[in-house]
Amino acid sequence: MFKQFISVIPGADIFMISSLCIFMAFFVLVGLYLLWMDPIHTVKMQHLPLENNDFEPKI
Amino acid sequence: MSTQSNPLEQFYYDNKAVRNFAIATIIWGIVGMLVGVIIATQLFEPAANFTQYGSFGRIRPLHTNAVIFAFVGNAIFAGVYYSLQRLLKARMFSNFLTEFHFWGWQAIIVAAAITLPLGITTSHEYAELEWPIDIAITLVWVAFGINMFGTILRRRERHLYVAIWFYIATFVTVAVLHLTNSMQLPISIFKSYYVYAGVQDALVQWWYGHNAVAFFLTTPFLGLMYYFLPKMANRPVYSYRLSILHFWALIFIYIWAGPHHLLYSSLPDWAQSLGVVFSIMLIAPSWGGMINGLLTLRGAWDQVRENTILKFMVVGITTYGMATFEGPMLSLKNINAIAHFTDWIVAHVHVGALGWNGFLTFAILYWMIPRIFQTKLYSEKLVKTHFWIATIGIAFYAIPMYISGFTQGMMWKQFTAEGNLQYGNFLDTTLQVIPMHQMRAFGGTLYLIGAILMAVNLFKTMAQGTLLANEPAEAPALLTIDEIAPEAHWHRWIEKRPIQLLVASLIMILIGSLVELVPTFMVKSNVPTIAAVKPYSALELEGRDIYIREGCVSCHSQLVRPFRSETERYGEFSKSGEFVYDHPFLWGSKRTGPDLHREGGKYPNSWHYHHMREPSSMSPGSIMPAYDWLFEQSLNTSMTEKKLSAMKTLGVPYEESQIKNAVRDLNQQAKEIQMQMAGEQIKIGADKEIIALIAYLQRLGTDINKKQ
Ligand code: HEC
Repeated sequence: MFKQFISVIPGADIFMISSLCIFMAFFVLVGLYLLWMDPIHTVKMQHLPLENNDFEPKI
Repeated sequence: MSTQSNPLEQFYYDNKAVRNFAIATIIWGIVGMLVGVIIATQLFEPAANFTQYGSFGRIRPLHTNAVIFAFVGNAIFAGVYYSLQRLLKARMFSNFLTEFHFWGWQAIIVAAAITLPLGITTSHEYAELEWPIDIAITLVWVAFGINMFGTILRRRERHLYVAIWFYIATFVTVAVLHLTNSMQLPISIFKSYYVYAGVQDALVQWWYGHNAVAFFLTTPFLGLMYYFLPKMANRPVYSYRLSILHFWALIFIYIWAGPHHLLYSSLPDWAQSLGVVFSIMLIAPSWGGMINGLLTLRGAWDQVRENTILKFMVVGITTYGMATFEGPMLSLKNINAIAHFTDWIVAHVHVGALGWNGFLTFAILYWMIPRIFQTKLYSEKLVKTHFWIATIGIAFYAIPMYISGFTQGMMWKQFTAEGNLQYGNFLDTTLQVIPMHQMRAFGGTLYLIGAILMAVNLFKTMAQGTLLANEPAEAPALLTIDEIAPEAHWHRWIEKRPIQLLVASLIMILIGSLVELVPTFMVKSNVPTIAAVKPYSALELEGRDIYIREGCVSCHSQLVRPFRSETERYGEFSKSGEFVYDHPFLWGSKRTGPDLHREGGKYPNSWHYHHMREPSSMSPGSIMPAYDWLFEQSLNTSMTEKKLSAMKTLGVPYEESQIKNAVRDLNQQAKEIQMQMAGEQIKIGADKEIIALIAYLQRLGTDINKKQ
């Protein structure tokens, strides 16, 4: 039989481990940011789409 | 926040572009859905395969390309051009680029509609268009990007609302996906070979295919949802924080999930596992988005009851939730083992496509058109009818397909008490699901009728109003960065800086892509070579190109998975080393017919001869289309030499003499097949295309049995 299924590639672990680290670090940052976000700013951002007065058809 | 501000400036929103894209959406939508109904019909009535230009294998990609890139594509552009200008308080950057974008995109669609029925295809799903069209797509996409970024840079609103982030991520990622998956070596203007082969080609293709779903069918629509839903309901999005988390998590995680299309294939295990893990994690951001959308309507459900447009949104967002729950489930290996290659996947895709993309598009069109035409909808009642007919259509589509998929999955695996396959004849499983396919075609027809009602309604609306081509608006010019208070918060920093946002999203998607792709490419030992596997002969290679041209891959897989039910039915399971000369890979994603990887030597040449001419003569009741033109058309060998030499450039070890004598060798092998069949009273010219196809079918999967 041929050696068909390779479960380990030499050098691939570094990709896995570093990606895990990047992943964790990134979500910790986003998480912290969300915790500290200024509520006034949030409200302003939320209302951005509602600022324009489109033509309102009378239904 | 600064209290200073500049004097008001007058400017005009470009509504003409929005109108143009909207009209294109409506027309291409109907065309694409119509082709969908035709191919659905062909799957229970093979007589519906009219001529070679209308046969299933050739027009199935026409359907997918039309609905994805023409219908959904134009819908995205219509929505983006409307919302981007208003969110940024600026007109689109360049009228020329807008026109170029619009007409360029339509020209690409027309080119696709011409080339695909002609059999000009690369065979990569959702990337079938040949290289000159790929280049055109690149140009138009860049034009769109410049137009979008130009607008962003000239904006009068400092902060970039989350919808725009989704648009930016869409732009960057689609660019990366398209370029990577279009690496082809041209042979002629209408023919090219992918530079990747076998497993690597498969990985690139499904990294692309999966992320096309993510970044063409999902992220732009989430952006549209975050803009239009608050507009329609006249209330802000439920949670802005959630939308940010949703954004970053979605783009970061999605890009990794591609290998779930290749479970149990010859892709290395670790890549498969990575794909599964990230697919499961995807539930979180996807549901975050859905919940954020639905909760935006909290306390406004009385509105939903009366407002059909909101109903479309609610059903659309709900089906998004269903599809994004189902997707991760389908990535679980044990579920995938049953569902893969069956109609289950077709059901899954269409819940997302018809529900999420279709319904959001309808809602947005119904909302935008009366506004830019300064009128009201021609008929509210027709909108209601459309809503109900389309919803019932989805049910009639999806439920039978789930039943059919489940039936197929079970029947393929069913063993008798004695340990034999219960349904050893594949055709039995095909015939079993025909009633389901009939119902599906009915469901699709209902959905199409709904779309036609919408077209009538919207065109009447346009006729009764007048387009406000240039809509006046005013806003103060932006203060420069120095003028505003420098309260620096990193995320607000990024909200104000589109280029940085672009770079950040690019990095996010590149991380996943590289981790997934690089090791498979760099490590040579990743694909163990099998000494017995040799390149195709010239005739077989030409036969393979006919297989590609006819789109056999849309009904036949070439990948025997390592299950007893499959090795029993088809033979030895597929090894990655067997595909090293396959530019492109032809594993397929659907088994409407049986797997063909071990087809070689299974039947005599004469069987294939009769079967290809009239499949039901060999397999009574077969739904495979007849391929009579292959018996009339002569094989074009003017490119054969060039094809072999291109393959050599790509690393296929052809000898110089093999290339030089390609046509001579080809004729000789064809003669042998002709003579052999003549012994069975079959008269056919050795130069006919069918001979090449038979040569290829007989070669399939036989190398590993050869003695060294
Ligand atoms: C609409 C889907 C469809 C398309 C397109 C299609 N087939 Fe089929 N094919 C089937 C079905 C269903 C069967 C099983 C019934 C039968 O034997 O005809 C089948 C059976 C076969 C078989 C017999 C397999 C076996 O081991 O019994 C071969 C060989 C085959 N197809 C080759 C082709 C080739 C080559 C093409 C492209 C030129 C093609 N098919 C296109 C649906 C399709």
